[in-house]
Amino acid sequence: MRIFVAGATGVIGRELLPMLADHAVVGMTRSRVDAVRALGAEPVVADVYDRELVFAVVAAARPDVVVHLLTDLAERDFEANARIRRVGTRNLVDAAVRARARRLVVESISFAASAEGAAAVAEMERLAKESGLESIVLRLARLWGPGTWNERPEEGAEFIHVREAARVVYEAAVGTEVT
Amino acid sequence: MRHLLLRIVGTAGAGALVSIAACGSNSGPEESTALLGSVAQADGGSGGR
Repeated sequence: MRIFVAGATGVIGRELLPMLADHAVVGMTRSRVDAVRALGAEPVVADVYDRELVFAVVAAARPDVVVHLLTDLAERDFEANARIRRVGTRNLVDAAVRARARRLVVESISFAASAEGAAAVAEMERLAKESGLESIVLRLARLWGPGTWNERPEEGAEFIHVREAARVVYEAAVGTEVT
Repeated sequence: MRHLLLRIVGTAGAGALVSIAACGSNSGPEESTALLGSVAQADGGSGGR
């Protein structure tokens, strides 16, 4: 199966790419070519805000499945994260449609965000649903484990280990028949 | 076109089994059950690590 992963070097992407070793995977990155390659995928450099470039790289990948793991939380900039969920998602989803991908898998959240954050999440999920592609939106609980903000889950809150989250993304991408 | 909206939560502090529930999907609950089954199988059937 041909799989295009946007957000390939994020916390979930780093766990996911090695799981996809039996597939032809293209990992989109803004600059971390060596990291994507080390994870076993073919790197492609693109900024998700460069709409035409995103269209070109997704089309070139000819993916069966597009996996959306895009976030912008490295600087804990929630405004940037909301923007990537709105604008980045639109570019990626439109590119997936243009490239005739069959399935779209989207990382979302199960927990409450700020009003702006929640609106961006709703927009992201709406874009997936209305894409016309088979879509699987995964509303993940807060992540913990390597590379996340949490060394261990907080008492009384809903969490999921990043590796388990990646496993769910893996199954959503390849574990069930693509119709 | 099929659209699945799934809620994913770890059910144990050690990040063992995950809980998957459909919420707002246009497919039946068997979809999320199938996905959970796949995850458990990938986990060696134990659901744990």
